[in-house]
Amino acid sequence: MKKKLSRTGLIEQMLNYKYIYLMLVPGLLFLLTFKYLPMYGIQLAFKRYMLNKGITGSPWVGLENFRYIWTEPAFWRAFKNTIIISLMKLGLGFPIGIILALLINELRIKKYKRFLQTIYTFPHFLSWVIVSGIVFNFLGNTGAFNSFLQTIGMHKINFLMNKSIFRYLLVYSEVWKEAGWSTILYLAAIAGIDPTLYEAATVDGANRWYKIKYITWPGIQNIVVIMFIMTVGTIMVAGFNQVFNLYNEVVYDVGDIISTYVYRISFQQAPDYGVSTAVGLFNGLINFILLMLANAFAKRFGNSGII
Amino acid sequence: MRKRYLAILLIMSVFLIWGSGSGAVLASQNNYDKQYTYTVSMMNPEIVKQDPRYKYLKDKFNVDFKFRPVNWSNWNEKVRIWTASGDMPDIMWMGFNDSNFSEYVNWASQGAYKPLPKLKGKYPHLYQLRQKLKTDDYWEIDGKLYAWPIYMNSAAWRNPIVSTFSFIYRVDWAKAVGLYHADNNYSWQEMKEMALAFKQQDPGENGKDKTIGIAGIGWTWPWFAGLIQTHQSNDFPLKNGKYVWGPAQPEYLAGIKEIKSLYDQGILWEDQPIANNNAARNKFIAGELGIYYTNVNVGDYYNNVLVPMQQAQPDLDIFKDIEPMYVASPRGNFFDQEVVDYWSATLFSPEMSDDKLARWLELSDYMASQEGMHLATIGIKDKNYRLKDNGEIELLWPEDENGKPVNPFDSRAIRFFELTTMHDKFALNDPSVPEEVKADVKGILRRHLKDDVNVLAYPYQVNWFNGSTYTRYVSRIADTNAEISEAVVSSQNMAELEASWQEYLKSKETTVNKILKEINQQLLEK
Repeated sequence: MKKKLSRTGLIEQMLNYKYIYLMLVPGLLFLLTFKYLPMYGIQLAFKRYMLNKGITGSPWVGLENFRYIWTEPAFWRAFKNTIIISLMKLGLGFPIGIILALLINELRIKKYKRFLQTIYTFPHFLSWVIVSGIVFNFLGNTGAFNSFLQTIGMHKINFLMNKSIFRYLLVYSEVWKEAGWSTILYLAAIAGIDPTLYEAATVDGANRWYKIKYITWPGIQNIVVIMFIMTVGTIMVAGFNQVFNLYNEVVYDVGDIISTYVYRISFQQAPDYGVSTAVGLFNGLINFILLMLANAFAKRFGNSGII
Repeated sequence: MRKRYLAILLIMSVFLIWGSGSGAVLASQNNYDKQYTYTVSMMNPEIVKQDPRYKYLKDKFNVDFKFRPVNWSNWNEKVRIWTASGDMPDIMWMGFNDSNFSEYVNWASQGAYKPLPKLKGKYPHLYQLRQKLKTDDYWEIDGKLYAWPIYMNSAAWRNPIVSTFSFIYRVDWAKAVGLYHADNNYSWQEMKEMALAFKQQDPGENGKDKTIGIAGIGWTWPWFAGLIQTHQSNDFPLKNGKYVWGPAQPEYLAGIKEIKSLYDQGILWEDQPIANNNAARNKFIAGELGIYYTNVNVGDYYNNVLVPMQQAQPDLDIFKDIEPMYVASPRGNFFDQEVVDYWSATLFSPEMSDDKLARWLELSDYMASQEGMHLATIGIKDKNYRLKDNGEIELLWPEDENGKPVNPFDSRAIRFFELTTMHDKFALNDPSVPEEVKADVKGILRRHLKDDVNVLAYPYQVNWFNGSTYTRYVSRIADTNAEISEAVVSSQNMAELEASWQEYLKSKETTVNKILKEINQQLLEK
């Protein structure tokens, strides 16, 4: 059982490690400035924003903005899409990084291993504007893939305007872009595993599969859980940059997520900041609940959570 | 003695007159002694800075400019962010039109913009322009003008001001498929047949399935393909003595079905619903598109369509092989809509001092004067043109090998010189533009003004209505285009399309009813 630190003990400890605590300051300042101070604007969710009166002076409208979004089908469509797309990414995309890390770790030739790592990681550094350009050029009606289909006498597939394909397009383009990047953390965790464990396992006659199952996987399990919790914590985000650059009006029904919806009602038409803040607040609240649930879930199954 | 007094009086008068004169000169110099630097939202700022007229204006009014670049795709978004965050440039140019008038009312009444002082007397040319503007009164909120609507300055014969939107087409292809009409008049059905023939017979030899029948400039989707032909728009037309919501009318649905039919038959370009503004134009220029719907104004048509097309296809006779196409609506009549006599507006930061605004208004008043308009269109006096004794203009522009004047200015800089007024009249007579181009554009306008064209009057009252419910909620029903795109592409058949459309209408019912109630109460009672 952990021993609880008394107040004087805590101060004493902080004084002892003052330089280490000092290193926390920039991070805390960053959090305070960019994460906590802007929360002052949350009150707009309960107000009708008027420029001349500012955030604090604008009139309160109670829950009117929430009542509006409650009855607005476009909001619920975005809400549903956000969750579905995030879960698809979580289900299909999350394990890929782990699997890839395990596979890369098994490679014997170091140069080839590094080469592959570089190839897989490179797309992460491309912005979604570039990646969407690649996707359009490859999968558009006049893109390389459809040209190929036509050449072999097959019908074109309208990937970008097809509602049943669009979500998969989001998932797979994200996997293509981010899988390599996500392996870095797992590979680092694998590198931290004591090599003598593998040597002992070899002596005991364990094959590769058993080494993965009984040494590598338990060694990275905590990292996987933390990454899982972090990913669940971003479920309601669903990737604004990606969706914004890839979607179009035809696939709003399956592709419009909360952040793109908020963007449209805030900047692409006469803005209603009260409504968009209400949507944002609702979004944040759901995200918070999901994060806490994932944390509790992780703890319940014997892993350390993040809180 | 008397003579002495008279002499003193005379001398004093001379001094007084001289003094007051020099004082006035001094005051004027003082005015301009202080240099003002304006932040301005602008397209192509680097090109503007190279323009000799820009330097001329800076020197003349002792001003300088810091530009905030905008482009067509982020223009209004940037402006909204600046306004909402209190970071508006001194001079902000925005695409205010009838569809976002409510936004103007909301922002202006909340003090986002600096009101203009009374123009009469002090700024005579601006005042004169305001008198000409049909929508003038609508721009005033509580008796104050918060924006300078940019007057189009159209030719007098354009009455009413009809739009220059039109189909243009490949005459050589039409001849090749045997469907050419020498008068360029076609029924809706004939146009569809022609588009299908282009696609199937591939007169442009682009290869199988590579030739496109009909496509339009991105932002005119989806209304160009069907809605406008059914005389409907996303607003509140008066029907049987009551205001109704356009999209809920059967004609609107008929328009959507027409679009769907064009799309499903492959007559309409398959990428049209997601195409950006210039995509169809590029297809037309590349010789892959037969019928292109666009805003056929002189500058855009010539500089952005015909010239690049000639470069891309040197064998093409752009003046014979490209023509405007006059297409009757599916109902059988020719149709057009009256447009407003301004386009976009200039707004002023509330942070700007009165003196700074006054200097801008002096510059603006100059741009509204004859000389200022000449500056914007033909250049600097005695450098780019000369006024003859009889008042006629002698152009001093360079000439090409055929002796035709060549415009010495980059047309992409024009937005800066059109922050006060546009020069539609000049564009139709621009000496540097080939006569064939001007004839095409004038032809479209004159065709739209013929008796057999049903010109839908501009609904000033309702489009400029500033009721509180209307201005607050109208943006919430601004997503019809997206719904149409989805219904057209994703519905498997007309029944499914209709069901999906009805579902959309139902989802907007509460908001629409609130708006309609207010419009009908307030406008019909007037």
